[in-house]
This record gives sequence, C-alpha cells and structure tokens, in this order.
Amino acid sequence: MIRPTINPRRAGHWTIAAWALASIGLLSESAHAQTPEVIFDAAVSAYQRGRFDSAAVGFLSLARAGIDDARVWYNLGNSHFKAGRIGSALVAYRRGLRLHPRDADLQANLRYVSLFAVDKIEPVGVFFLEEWWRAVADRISFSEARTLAALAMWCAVLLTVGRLWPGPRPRVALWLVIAGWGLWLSATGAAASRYARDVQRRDGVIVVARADVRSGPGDSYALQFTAHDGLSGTIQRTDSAWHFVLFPNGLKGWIAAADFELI
Amino acid sequence: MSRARITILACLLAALPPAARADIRFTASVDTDSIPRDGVVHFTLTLQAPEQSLPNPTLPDLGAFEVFSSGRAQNVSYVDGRVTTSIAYNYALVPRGPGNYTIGEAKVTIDGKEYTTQPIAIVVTKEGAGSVTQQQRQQPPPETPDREKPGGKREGIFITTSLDKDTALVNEPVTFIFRFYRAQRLLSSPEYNRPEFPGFWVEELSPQRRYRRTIDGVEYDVTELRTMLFPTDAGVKTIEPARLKIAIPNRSRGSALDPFGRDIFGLIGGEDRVLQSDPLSLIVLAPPARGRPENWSGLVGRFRMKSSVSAREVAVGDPITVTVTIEGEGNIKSIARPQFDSIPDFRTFSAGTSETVSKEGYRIGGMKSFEEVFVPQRAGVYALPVFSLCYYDLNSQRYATLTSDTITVTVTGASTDFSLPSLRLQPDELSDLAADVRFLKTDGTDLRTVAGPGLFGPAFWAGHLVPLCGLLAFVGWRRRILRDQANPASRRRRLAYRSALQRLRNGESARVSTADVASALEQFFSDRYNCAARGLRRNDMRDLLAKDRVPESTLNEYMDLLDWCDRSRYVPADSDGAPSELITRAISLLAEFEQSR
Repeated sequence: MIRPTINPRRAGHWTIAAWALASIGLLSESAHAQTPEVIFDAAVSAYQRGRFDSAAVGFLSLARAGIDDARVWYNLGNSHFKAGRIGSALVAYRRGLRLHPRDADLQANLRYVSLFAVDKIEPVGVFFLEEWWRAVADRISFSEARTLAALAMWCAVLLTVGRLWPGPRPRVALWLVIAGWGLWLSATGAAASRYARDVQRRDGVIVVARADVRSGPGDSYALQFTAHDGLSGTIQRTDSAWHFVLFPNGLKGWIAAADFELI
Repeated sequence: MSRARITILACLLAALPPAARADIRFTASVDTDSIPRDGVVHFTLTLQAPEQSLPNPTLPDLGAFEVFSSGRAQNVSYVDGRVTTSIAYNYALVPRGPGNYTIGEAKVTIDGKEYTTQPIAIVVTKEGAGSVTQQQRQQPPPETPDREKPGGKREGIFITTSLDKDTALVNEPVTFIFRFYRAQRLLSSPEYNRPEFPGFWVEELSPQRRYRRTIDGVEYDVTELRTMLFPTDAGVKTIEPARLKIAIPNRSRGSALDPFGRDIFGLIGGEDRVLQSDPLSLIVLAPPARGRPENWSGLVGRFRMKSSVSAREVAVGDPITVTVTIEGEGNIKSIARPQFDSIPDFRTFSAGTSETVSKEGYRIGGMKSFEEVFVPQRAGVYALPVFSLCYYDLNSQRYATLTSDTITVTVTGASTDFSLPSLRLQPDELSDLAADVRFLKTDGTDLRTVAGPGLFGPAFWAGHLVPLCGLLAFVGWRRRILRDQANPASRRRRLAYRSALQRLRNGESARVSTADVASALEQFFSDRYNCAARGLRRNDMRDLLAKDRVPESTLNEYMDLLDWCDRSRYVPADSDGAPSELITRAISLLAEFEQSR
C-alpha cells in the first residue's frame, strides 16, 4: 500500500482528528497515531452501520487535517445528506467537484441532493455565450486548466517558431499557430475562471434550516425574506460576521456568516 | 389678360369643384333606433369636406324630442397635401312620449350645392324604467342593516356608500355597497371611480343589481355595486369617498342671461357633474388573543375539511396522493397548507394546490385543495397522518381546528432503506426520488493532500515564462538575420572588428607575414566603410577616417602601421614572419577603432 505523504506541519491536525474520532467511538484512544487510511476506513465503517453523524465527523476531520481528496468530499457529502443536512452535503459535493469536475458519482449525488433543497428558485438567465463558457469551464478543474494552459503555451511557442523558421512555409502553418494560441487563450481563461470560483471562494450554500436574509449586516435590519437549507449564492462583499449574498434568482441580501458555508 | 390665360383659368375653375364635391360626405347616425319612453337617443351629424371652413348644417324637425347638445368634435387632416375637415355634431334626444318618429333630413349647403342626410326612424316604446329592461329589473333587496351615507344633495340623483358591518376581525369579509339613485335621465353612461381600499384585500362582486326604490315619495332607479373587503391588519380603517361622473340635462343654462350655455343652433348643452360619497370608517380588530392556538393560520370565516386518497393498497415505492379540500366562506386565497405530522417509513412532498373562488349570492366562498404525496419505503399497514388547519370560526366566535379523517393504507413488497427529511418537489422530479445517493467510496488508499502552490507556482513559470522567453529570443535572432540579409553593408561593418581580430590572432599562432597584417588592417577598413579593399589610396582612407571622427592619434598610428608594413615588404625577409609586437600593436589599434565607434 502506498502511503500518502503527510506534511509534517500538519502532524498536529492528525492528533486532533484522531482525538475527535476517538471521542465519538470511531477509533480507540490508543490509535492516535493512525494513518489517514485508518481514519477513512473507520468513517466508512460508521457510515455502513448507519452512524452518519460519526461518519461525517471522520471525513471532516480528514479534510481539516489536510486531505483534499475527492473521495473524502464525496463520502462527507453522503454522510451529511443521510444525516439530514442538505446544505452541508451540497458544499461537500461541490468541493469534490472542484477537484474532479467530471466525476459521475459526484455529479449524480449533487443533482440528486439538490432536489431536496426547500427553495426552488428560477435562476436569472445569462447570455448564451457565458452559459456555454461556464459549461466548458466546469468540465475541468483548476489544476487541469493550469496544466493545459502550460502545455498549450509550449505548443503555441513551438508552432510559432516553426512558422518563423527560415525556409519554405506551408500555409497551414499559420492556422496551426493561430490554433495554438487560441488553445492557450482558452485554457488560460478556463484556469482564471476556475481560480476565481474555486480559489477565491465566493460561492456558498445555506447550511441551516432557516436563514433570515436582511437589508443590512445585523439583526436589527429589516427582514427581507427567509431562505432555507441548501440554497446556494455568491458573496458580493463581507462585513464582519455578515455576507452580502446574491442568489441565483437575482435577489440580494445580508445573511449571517455562520448560516452560509463557503464552497 | 390674354384670351388663352382666361381659357385655362376657366377650365381649372370648371374642373376643380366636381373633384372637391366628390369628397364631401354628410351623414346622420343614432346609437339605437328603439328606446323606452324615458330613454335617450344619441344623434350624430357628421360633415366631411376637403375645406378648412365648413358651414353649419341645418337640423331637421325634432319636435318629438327634447334636444340637448352634447358638443361637437372637429378633425383636420393633411394627406398628400390635401386638407380634409371632419366635424361631428352630437345631440342627446329625449322623447316627449311613446310613438314612432322619424328624424328628418338635415341639410348643409357647400359651394351652392345642398347636401342632405337620410331620414332615420325611431321607435319610442311605452315601457319606462330608464334603460332597464324587464329582464334586467330586479326586486329591491330586503332592508339591510347597513347605514347608507348619501353623497351630495338629493336632487333627483345621488349616490350612497355603506358597509354591512361597523366592526370586523382581521381577514373577516366585509361588504362595501355602492348605490346610485336617479330619478332623471342621463345624457351619457356614468363613470364610477371606486375607492382604493388601502389595507384591504379586495374582491369585486358581480353582477350589479338594478331595482326601484321610493324615497320621500320620489321613485328612484337604483344601481347597486358590491365589493368584498378583507382587512389585512387591525386598526381603524377609513374608506375614501367613491365618485361617480355623470352628464345630465341642464335646463337652468341657456337662458337669455346665459348665452354661453347654448351651442351654434341655440340648443341647450348637457352638464357634467361628479357625485361624491362621504368617507366610511371601519374598526378592524385582531382575533382574540385568549385561546388563540400557536398554529392558527390567520384564517377567518366558516370552513369545513374533507380528504380523499388515490389508493389504499400500493407497493413499496408507489406514490399515494392524499387530496385535502377546505371549503366554505371566507378568504379562500389565504388558506394555508394544512399541517400534518411526519410519518416514518414514508417520503412526503407537496404535489400542488388548486382553488375555486365563488361569488354566488354576493358572498365570497369556494374551495382550495392541497395534494400531498406519500411514497412508502417499507411494507406494512400504515395510518397516514391527519391533516389539520386552525382558523377563527365566525359562527361560534372562537378558534376551531379542522381535521381530516384517518386514512389507512396497506403497503406491499420489499422495504428499502432511507432516511430523508420531507421535501417539496415538482411533479416531474418524482422519478428521481425513487433513487438514492450513489454509495460510498470505500477505497481510501493514496489519499491526496492539499495541493501545493496556487496560481503562480513553479509549474506556472516553467510552463509559461520559459517558452515565452525562448520565443522572444528566437524572434530577436530572426529579426537580426533578416536585417543582415536586407543590409549586407551593416553586417560587414558590425563584423569588421571581429573578422580582423580573428585574422591577426591566427597570426599569433601561425606564421603570417607583414603583408598579411597589412591585408587584415585594410580588410578591416574595407568592411568598416563598405568599400573595396583593392585600390584604396591612403589619402582617401585618411579622409574617411577623419570624417568618421576617429581620433587623430589613432588615425596617424593606423596610417604609420600601414606604411611600415608596406616598407617591410621590400626588406629582405627573415623566415620568422611578422614580429609579434607588430601583431599586438595592430590588435591594440583595432580595439581603439572599435572603442571610437
């Protein structure tokens, strides 16, 4: 078995994770030095025994200890969903999709769990080119897009050198150069798009049963409407413990940061 | 004026009038040819001609009617440079009694020609009651407890507004009644502007009622309109006045002292009048706090509940639809979804609602249905949850709770595992519910740790900066090649020093003669100034070097060195070739040249 390389700076996190699992009975207290695989297997076992909250704690402790693996997010989403936490499940699935955008299981479960969101709102329509571009960009992860952009750059540079090299120049060479730079531009754009969405983390989901959306950053402001577990939105700005969130149907309002988990 | 001009002008004058006359139209029309004895005929004369100034027509004999002018409308249009004027003269004709009458020909004379309208036959029946037919006439309503507030003085025509109650609960139906009393004719249809009713949920009740009522010995035709109001909050509510715009004959105008009250024919005009009611007040109370259940839905009225189920025996996974119907009197649209307890082993969701609002008998009622779908997950016999809805009952003046009957269903087949909260779904998403989340990923080997550097890591620089720099270097080299190809002299000048230096350094290791040193120096000059090496004269060289602002000392030393080489050619040669001092001196000299560029 190939063991993952663990960052020594995160060793403390493993201890915390092990203690957390021990406290809910997933691991024995003598197992503090367990590897991520052991914790993973223990959480899977808890899930299979119907202890979904315990399984969620196990997978979450792995994530917090530095494991950024799509399988962990996928299992965490399943555990949250089985425990009745729709919003948290959606967050976990979307974090998994950030790493593996084409994972069929993640896509299926995200689509399925989305059906259980209370607020079924009609998204505001976008320009068809933007919609197409989002669909394309969502098919690849940030790291994939970044690698593709680098390869495209090499490809475009070599094609350009070939085009400029002294000697006979076939007409197709010019089109190859244009195609190469076009590929680089697309891949860079996709990488920038994923960077904006994944790394800057502006998207989030409501993770409480009812969340009051107010006209200002505080409980004293007027209540505009009430959103429910599982409704996604995009943060436009933040003021202390409140986010100003834009929802897909165009409504905006301030929501307590504790009620809104970033993806 | 010459005869030819007079002839042309006569032809034009003879030709124009027939064309103009062909466009003149003079017509008469009425809105109805049969009216009751107290009805009104609206008579219109329309004159259209291609001139801006038209004469007034002459009215026919209208002795069988009282005639009131309703004004005139004029329209001037320019089409293809032609002017067309159209004037409509409007009259209200009030018959003096029943019978068959004929409105005779109206006349107008334009350019010496007389135009007439067609006669129109009018039948005035013996039947009265204004424009209300026997079928439309209704019995007056029984005396109601509402207190009418008449608007304006009772001068044969007035309006009243009233409410059927002075005090109401929030969301309790209140009827607003508007009545229009008239004992004289109207010259046009009245225009009703109802109050805005802020703070109320409003439902219009139809149709309007018409009947007769005698007040103080005067018999009035009454038109009654009703509006149902549902107060939305507690407090003292004020209902703004209602307004009715009418047009009536004004016999007080048109006297000798009032010449402006008559039209061009000396006929009396009608008078527009706006009737206005007084504002009303309504005290709206919140339903009593005492005994108010926490789950009170805010509904007030008289209601009952019934329920039905689509199937009582189903297989696991098959949906069971329970339809709960609430019907009665009250604000049907505000009925909330009935509550029910969750039931284990079932997935539940709302499938939809439908409502039917009835306004029969000037009461708001109807029914609202809610469909709830239950999807069983395990086999067995189950009692579906009881639906309940709390409301304030106006009959008993207390809170009441509607409950549905207990429905028992039998579920057959194998059970499936599930644990989901209740949810609200669209019907087309039902098929997806039969599934579940895909199962866990159990392989935990080779878990990936958090990714390394972000956007600008080493991979980024390796992937983008290195090829980009390489491309820039290649482009620079390529440009230099192209520049040299385009300008060989420049290349020679650039490479002159390097080429000469190479020759002389080769001489340090090999046997070279002073003639070779001189040749290297002359070739350097040739390359630097792009001229042929052979045939160079010293004076020309000196001039070129001076023009190139070569320092005088360097110039002299260069010329001395060339002279010394020339002289050495005629000295008997020793076999050792050029002395190394000579080569060193030449290299030093070339370096000075290079620095002087």
